[in-house]
Amino acid sequence: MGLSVKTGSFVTETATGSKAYTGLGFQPKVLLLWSVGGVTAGTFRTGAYTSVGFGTDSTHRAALGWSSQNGQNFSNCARTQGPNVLDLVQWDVTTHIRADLVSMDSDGFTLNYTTVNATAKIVHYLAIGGSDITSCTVLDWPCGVATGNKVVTGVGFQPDAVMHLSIGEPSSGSSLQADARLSFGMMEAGGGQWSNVIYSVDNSGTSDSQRHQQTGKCIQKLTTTPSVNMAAQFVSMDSDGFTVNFTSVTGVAERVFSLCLKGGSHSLGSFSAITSGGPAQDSPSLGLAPLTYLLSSFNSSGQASPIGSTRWSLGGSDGTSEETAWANDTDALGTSASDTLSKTDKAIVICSATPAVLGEADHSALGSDVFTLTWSTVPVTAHELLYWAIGAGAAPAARIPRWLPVMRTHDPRPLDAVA
Amino acid sequence: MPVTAVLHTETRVVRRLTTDFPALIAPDETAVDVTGLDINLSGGFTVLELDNSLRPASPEEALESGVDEAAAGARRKTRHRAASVALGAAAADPLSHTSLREALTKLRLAMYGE
Repeated sequence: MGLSVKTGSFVTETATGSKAYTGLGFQPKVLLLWSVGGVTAGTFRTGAYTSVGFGTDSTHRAALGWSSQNGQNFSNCARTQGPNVLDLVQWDVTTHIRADLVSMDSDGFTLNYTTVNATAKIVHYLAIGGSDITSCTVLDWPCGVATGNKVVTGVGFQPDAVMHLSIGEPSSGSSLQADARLSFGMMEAGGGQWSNVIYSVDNSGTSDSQRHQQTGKCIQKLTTTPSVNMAAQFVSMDSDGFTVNFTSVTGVAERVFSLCLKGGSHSLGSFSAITSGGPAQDSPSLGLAPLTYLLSSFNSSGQASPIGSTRWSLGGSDGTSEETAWANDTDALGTSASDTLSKTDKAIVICSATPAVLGEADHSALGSDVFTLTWSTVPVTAHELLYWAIGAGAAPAARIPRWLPVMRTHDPRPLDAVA
Repeated sequence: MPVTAVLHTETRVVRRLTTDFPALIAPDETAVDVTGLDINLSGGFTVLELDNSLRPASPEEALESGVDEAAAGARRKTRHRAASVALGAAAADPLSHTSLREALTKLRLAMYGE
């Protein structure tokens, strides 16, 4: 098979040192890890962590972390970045759990735990391999300091899809800082792009947290106002990298970490989760036959401006396994309220500040042009979901650009009634 | 392409430059069209005066406008530390009523963990 994918989860080690993870059935070329520090799958946990990391080999990897302590009169928030693949930061601006990528192995991957915690945490992963992925790497680069196009080079090939991560830190390499910020975005050669971002202010007497999501930007950063004070949109994939247009800048060259992939086919887009008439929902036409997909949401309907409270979901499925995680830090409280939830039996979960599950969906099917979610809990209000669908082969020569509105089809019949 | 400077209204410190139009701004911000002006924010925090001239922001202006996040965080910590010390001193004052001292002690513990 040209493209091999696997989603799954494991728990972190409680002793430092190397740990080999096996059972993938192929040698991955790309590894994406995400964690909210969950201890028991399906159970809410107070105190919020988030780590997102990716790697292609032992020298090309990056992990970013975000955390906010629960029950504090003055918010206690931190962020981290560094050359690792897993980085859970403690709210007192120390490292909670950290692991680096040692190797991609014939049946899995090996991590080296350099900081561990006595309580093992759930980590979700997406591994991608196969001959279709012809090149992949991770690049650390400074964002634009002036509005306009920025040409990013040094990738070594022309990517088909790029995932961006940033914590808004100007220094390169490892960094631990107060204030919790995490930007997550993607762009693909066909023009699809999206991003979401969360930000919680440290040491604030009243909790000060916000979130935003945009389908027309691939990178963005929030400030306390709240407003987007740095943003960029996709322009082109180039022979040695890519070009993005910085539409908002602060003049500070904050670092962006980008996972660049060549090969496979990629589709990025968004849709609004159903609010009634479930249980089935099809995604918009993807223009490819997906083998796996990621979903992300800031747990709101689409918004022109940032909104209060940090709230973020990331999940996905390879057609067999399902993994999702959720984190929250509620805005404008005298005593901070932060929570997380990890699930290993759902593709996406959306929750309230209570915390309570507002909506959650199972992977249902992979079709020739769609993936189908079945909502076991249908959210009663609209929530915008972002997706990255990955298929085999090369991207089609021409397809509907993802940024154009697409008529979404929804068949209200139960799945077993659909021929 | 039009370029907008988004300022902190009170200090006129430039929080960001944007080509998004219309620029989305917060209640404490003002949008100013600076198309044609040569503004480079990489040199440090900048004030855009009413006559469109530019000058470096003072540390106080940078702090007040919120662009200096590190300084803002340090100021919050300093203020909280001072408040905790003041509560501790009042709680230890033998001239204060016992019930007030107990209340201040509990408040300090609840607020600052001290």
